[in-house]
Amino acid sequence: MSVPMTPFTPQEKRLSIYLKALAVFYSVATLAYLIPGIISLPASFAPYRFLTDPAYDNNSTVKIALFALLTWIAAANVRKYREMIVVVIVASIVAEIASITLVLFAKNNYLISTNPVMYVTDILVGSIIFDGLIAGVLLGFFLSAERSRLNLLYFSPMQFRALKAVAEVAIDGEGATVISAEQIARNVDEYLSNFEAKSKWITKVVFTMMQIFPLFSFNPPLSYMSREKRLAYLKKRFYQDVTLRIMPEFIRVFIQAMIRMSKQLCYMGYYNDTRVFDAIGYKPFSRRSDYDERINLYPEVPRKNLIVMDEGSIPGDEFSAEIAIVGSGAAASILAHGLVERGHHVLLIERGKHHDRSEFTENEIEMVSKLYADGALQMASDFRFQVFQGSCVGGSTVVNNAVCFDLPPEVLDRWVDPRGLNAGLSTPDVIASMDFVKKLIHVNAVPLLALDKHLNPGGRKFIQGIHALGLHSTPNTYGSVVANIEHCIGCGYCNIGCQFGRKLSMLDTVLPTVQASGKGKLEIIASCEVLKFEGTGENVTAALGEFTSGRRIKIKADKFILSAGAISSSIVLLRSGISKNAGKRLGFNVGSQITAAFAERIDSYDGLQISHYLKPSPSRGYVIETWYNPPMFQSTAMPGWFEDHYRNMLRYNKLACGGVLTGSESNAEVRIAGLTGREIRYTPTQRDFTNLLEGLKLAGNIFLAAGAESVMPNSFKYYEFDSSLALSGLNDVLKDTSDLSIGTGHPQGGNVMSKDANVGVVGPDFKVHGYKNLYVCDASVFPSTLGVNPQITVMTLANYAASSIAQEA
Amino acid sequence: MDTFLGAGNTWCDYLGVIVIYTLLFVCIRAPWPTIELNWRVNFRVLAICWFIMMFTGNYLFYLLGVMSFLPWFNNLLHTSLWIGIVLTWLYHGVHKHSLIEQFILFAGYSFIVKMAESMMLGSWMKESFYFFHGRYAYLIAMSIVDGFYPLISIFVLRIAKKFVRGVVID
Ligand SMILES: Cc1cc2nc3c(=O)[nH]c(=O)nc-3n(C[C@H](O)[C@H](O)[C@H](O)COP(=O)(O)OP(=O)(O)OC[C@H]3O[C@@H](n4cnc5c(N)ncnc54)[C@H](O)[C@@H]3O)c2cc1C
Ligand code: SF4
Repeated sequence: MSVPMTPFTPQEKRLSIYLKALAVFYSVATLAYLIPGIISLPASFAPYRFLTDPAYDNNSTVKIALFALLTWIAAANVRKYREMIVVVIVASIVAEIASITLVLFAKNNYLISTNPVMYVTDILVGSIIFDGLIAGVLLGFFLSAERSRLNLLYFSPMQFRALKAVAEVAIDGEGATVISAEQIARNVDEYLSNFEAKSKWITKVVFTMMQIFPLFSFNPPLSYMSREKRLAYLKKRFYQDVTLRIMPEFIRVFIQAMIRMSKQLCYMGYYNDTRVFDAIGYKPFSRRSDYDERINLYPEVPRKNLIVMDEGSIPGDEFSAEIAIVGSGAAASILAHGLVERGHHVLLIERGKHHDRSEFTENEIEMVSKLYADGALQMASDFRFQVFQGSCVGGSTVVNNAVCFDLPPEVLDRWVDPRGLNAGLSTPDVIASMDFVKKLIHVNAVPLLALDKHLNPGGRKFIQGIHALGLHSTPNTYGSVVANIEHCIGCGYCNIGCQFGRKLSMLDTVLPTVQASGKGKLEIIASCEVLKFEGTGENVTAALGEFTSGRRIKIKADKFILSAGAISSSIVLLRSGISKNAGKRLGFNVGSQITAAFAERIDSYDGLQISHYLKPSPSRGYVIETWYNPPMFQSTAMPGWFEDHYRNMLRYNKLACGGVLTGSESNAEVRIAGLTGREIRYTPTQRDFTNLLEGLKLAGNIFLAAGAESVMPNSFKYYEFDSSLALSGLNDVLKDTSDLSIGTGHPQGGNVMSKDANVGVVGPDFKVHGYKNLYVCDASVFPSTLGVNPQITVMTLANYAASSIAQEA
Repeated sequence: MDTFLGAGNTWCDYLGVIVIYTLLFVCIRAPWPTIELNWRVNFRVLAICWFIMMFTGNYLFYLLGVMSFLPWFNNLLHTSLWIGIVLTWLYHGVHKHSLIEQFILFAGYSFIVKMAESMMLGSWMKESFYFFHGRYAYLIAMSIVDGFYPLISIFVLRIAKKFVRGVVID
């Protein structure tokens, strides 16, 4: 059955008319090139010897006749014969390059006339301009016709073709895919057009490169290869060659980055589509059989409205406050609480938008765009390490898993050690602050407040495995997590915002409460990114903010507190020219996952996302947490390539997943450089890699002991281990972290705290060394990484800072 | 033009001098790419003070016979770009180091620049400097004088602090 052709778009009609005009022009030109060679020209043409040169006439006639032929054919049906147009454009570009080369380097540049003085290359310059104009217009009309036909919202036609070409082979395996590659590509195009991230243009670069990359090995562009050849090409160049390391490292980095991003986008396009859910055995929460029962299990959590100003509500180009805090996440909210309670006026300035939880949906892409924005696309400079951060009112607490671990005592000891970084914090005050914060945000052991059946079902397997291996004895700690969650109903959407208000994020609890009780003392501006500070001497006088529209305002205040989170806080300091130590000593809780396949259906998605953990003691340098996601997120962390990945996603409801977290050494750095102006330089150390491997092996063994058929680390090359013995060989196959997919949602440090101004950015009073009224307080001031989930420590320090900042005010 | 550019000098010669300043500036700036926000007032104060002091000083000392004549354009570039901007940048970076270290750095860099200017523009030439004879005596003496930039700057900033908001003594 043939697919009916949609009518030509106006842009296609315009292209067709232009092609017809060109065809006429080229036909006439064919004669114009041929005739001078066979007739006698008037004497005035005598200087133009080349016109009568048979070789010149022959070549030009053939070239232009070919152009005439191609344009005649293409004009008849610009859709059917689009390749002809491509040939004309490419040939025109080649001709232009040849002409420019001749103008620059021609040996036989002879004089044609003396009055005016004219050389043969002058004529070439004229023809370069003339032909360039013709080809330029053709290219412009062609691209706009393509875009209008494909009805693209974000990508160019070429990028779209490359995306479709990758999708066709990346999502394929046994059984037919539910939606076509064209539909996957369209989904991605639409998602990205709505995606609220400034750095999303990188995806365009990636698909442009994917399309043209095969040319370097004398292959046709990716979308022009047959499906089989393309699959073989991608497997060879982007998979085998990378795993075998048979290319220089800088090319390997580049290739890994391209394929990672392009296949992840394809997965997003496929696994976020509701039509795919049945095929992989996933039921969105709203379609689960016990939805009503769960919703009605606990009374609706009452909430106070949060009043947030946006660009429209701020006239003029200046705004004043007593204390201005940059950010509105974990630290900023607790600071606001402490300061407002002590009678101060506080203004929070947040770069992300304000989304009330009533706007939260089950659509992963939509929520990632709203709640993470650029925080979802942050990569280390070698593109091998992804750093997730929330970017909305409430910060990362809106998207985090709410898992709470105390600040480990051994870490605090290290921080305050006078022979070490000498943070100068008072240990008893920090501990008191932690107790206060835990009460404030309602930290609870999860099973007390959620029915056990609402925990991640994969976690139950994990606990079974812990028991089977005898890891349940003290001093190890394990079990269901402690979290600031109340009455969880197990929808499994923590990382895309809890629409039911069960996760007690800053957006839902602290900020509205403070605003209500503070009687106008807490104001919040959203969608306004603080670019930098301005100042005179030791006093910061203003923060320069920029709204999404590009409009700028100056925010003046008596005191400024930077709480934009690790990475962003360092960037703001660096942009302002503040502190030579800013951006240094950055670290992460580095995470990598291992997926376990069970014979039976366990529906890991149907419950709290992170629900169980194991912390071996004495410390082995890592913790393991169970983790499972709705399909789009899970697909990006799913091991395997091509058919393996597809097969794994088909058993999505039979899988469980564990994440290993290790506190890295503080050897990373963030700088103002690179494509996005925020370059994260990070190479995991051998110690960090070893910790991860050991953690992955232990997590794998736990799942195997719980009856998993096999376990799969999230490695670049696909491995599936079906026994503990096989898994022990993990060290032999994974050479370094480039063989492993690693990422983090827990960046820490970068503006570390130390009494020593030569080492630290802030002192024990959170004040930036050398400034009287500028403070930094967020995860960036951690002197070293924690190795456990950091939000409690961030809030503890914020509460600690609030009292000292308030005292000074 | 002789007193403005210096005898036999062309704009191209000055371009060469600016290239030398730029190269040295790149080296000096590398470890401290930006001027710390709290030091920007200091930077402006020092750059302006040094420019005024040196521009007039060079001429006055010439009138007193202590220095050789610096062509006006040479004097302008040397005191505004080199001393005003580049050396103040250097001072921003090293002002917490020991005074001896600072002295060596300032005198050393000054010697390189004076040498270059004397070769390219024929300035900084004097047969002798008091009891010391030879082409280099004057060059070395003038460079040693520049070595005192950090010490003098401390006093400049202390005085400026009384009049200008934002000057920091650290
Ligand atoms: C997916 C995910 C899951 C996590 N799970 C857990 C968990 O279970 N347990 C746990 O303890 N921790 C978890 N974390 C980490 C935890 O949420 C963070 O460590 C914590 O929120 C950091 O607090 P912060 O105040 O430093 O930064 P954030 O909470 O990230 O807040 C910073 C805010 O500043 C804003 N901002 C940035 N730059 C600017 C600027 N220039 N101008 C204005 N505003 C700006 C950002 O948009 C953001 O809203 C998770 C994080 C993520 C991303
Ligand atoms: S699983 Fe997460 S998102 Fe769902 S109700 Fe529980 S806390 Fe909220």
